[in-house]
Amino acid sequence: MTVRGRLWAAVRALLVPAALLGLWEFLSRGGAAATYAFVPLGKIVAAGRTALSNGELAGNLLASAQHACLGLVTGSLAGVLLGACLGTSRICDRILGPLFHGLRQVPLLGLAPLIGLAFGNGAGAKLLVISLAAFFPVALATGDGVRNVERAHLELGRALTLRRRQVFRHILLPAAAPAIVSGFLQALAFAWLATIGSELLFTASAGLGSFMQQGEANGRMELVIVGMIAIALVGLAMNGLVNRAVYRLLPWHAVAQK
Amino acid sequence: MAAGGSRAALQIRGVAKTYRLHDRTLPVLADIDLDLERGQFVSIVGASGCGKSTLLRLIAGLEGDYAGEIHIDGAPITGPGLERGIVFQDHRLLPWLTVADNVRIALLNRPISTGDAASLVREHLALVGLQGFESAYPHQLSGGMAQRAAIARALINAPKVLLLDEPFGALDALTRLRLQGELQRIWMRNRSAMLMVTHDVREAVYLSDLVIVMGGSPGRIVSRARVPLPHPRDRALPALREIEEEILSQLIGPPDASANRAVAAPTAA
Repeated sequence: MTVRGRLWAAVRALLVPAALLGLWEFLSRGGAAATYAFVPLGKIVAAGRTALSNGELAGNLLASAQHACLGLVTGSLAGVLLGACLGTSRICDRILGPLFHGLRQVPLLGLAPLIGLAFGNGAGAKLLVISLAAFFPVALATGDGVRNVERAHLELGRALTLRRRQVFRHILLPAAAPAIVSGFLQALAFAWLATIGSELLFTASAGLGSFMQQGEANGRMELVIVGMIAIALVGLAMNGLVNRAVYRLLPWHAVAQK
Repeated sequence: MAAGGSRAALQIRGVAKTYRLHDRTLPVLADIDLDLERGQFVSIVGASGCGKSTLLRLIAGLEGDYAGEIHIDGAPITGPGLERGIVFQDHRLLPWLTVADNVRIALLNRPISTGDAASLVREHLALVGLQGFESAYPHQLSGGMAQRAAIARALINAPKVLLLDEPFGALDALTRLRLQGELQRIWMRNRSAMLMVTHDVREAVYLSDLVIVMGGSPGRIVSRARVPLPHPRDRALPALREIEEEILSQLIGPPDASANRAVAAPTAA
């Protein structure tokens, strides 16, 4: 692409955001009430700078990211395990399948009160909510991926006298890997959502959710917006990171998709 | 284990197989007797549906529940085993493994060191002419190259019998001819007994010491044609053409007793 073309592409991509920002700034000048809801851009930038320089933003962001990662890992591992069971064993599918498919219809927000009652309002409850958010998409995708393994490949495994564990490791898991990855990408988004949500729902501790809640409680909407921007950027970064890792981990899949 | 030198590599006695479909029984194989000597190349030809692939799957141990006996080197078979190698019509390379790993996977249950495994893989990739492609993925290979890798995978455990189920059926005509020559060369070096199922009578005659003609429903052996010519062979030999014509006339000539059976409805259970 020429320099000119690239410039034009950048202008096109920024056109709508710039217009929205302009509208925002215009609305913020419509009186005191409007200024509260539509915080002037200058105030947001200033608040963002302060939060960045005094380490408040970084500390909360790190705390949230830690919660999200921990929940993502536990939830995804559990999801792969259950999904593999559902996908390979008919008995397992008959016993656990209906419960699994029933439970995943219930929004996590609906489960929150129950979880709060059973596990308290602290870190345990948060971790459970985040893990559950990651668990369902990964379990579902793994089950589908394992079920769709090519019969011919399983037959090859038999001809090579592979044992159950070897078939799982060398045939079933790699066959399901692309499905697991797309489930994991979904889990990533859900887990991040659940992280912020659980921070808002359960007892406050360090985290972006609490950061925003404090801002709201103190009537400082600019802090809420700074939190929102941070959440969006972290989500984007995580998505990009995983997408990049996928190309490394599944070279045959990445190339085949091109 | 008594492995006498005179014992056949593969011995099939009175094998019959019946499929059950709902409440009907469908006989697919009957009265199959067949011996493969060590290092012998035998092909089975016949119309689709004559049960030749089923026979191969029985020998591979991929299907059970049959009557009769199948022995490899004097021992009855119980399920799949590494003393039998198999090449399918589709190469069945695992798309997530490199060529070298696809060959190496056949060694998973062989108690050998990693170093020995690596040199076996190298040796067999060289045998099929794939040196330099160790780290390629299957989607980067042509159909002929993929089938070469599949042959290396099937041979790496030095099987007593290599089973080939229409190994070149999915390839274009030129690649097919080239790989036939390659298979002959590999077989002359490796000297596993080979049992190949094919539709292609010319291919069978060119490569084999013995061509088995199957027909009918249930499938049975209709005739056996020896090809008493030394290897490697020139594919233009008139003697090959004569045997080919003879077999073809059996396959598409006037219906014989066993072909008539094909018209009869399957017997109800």
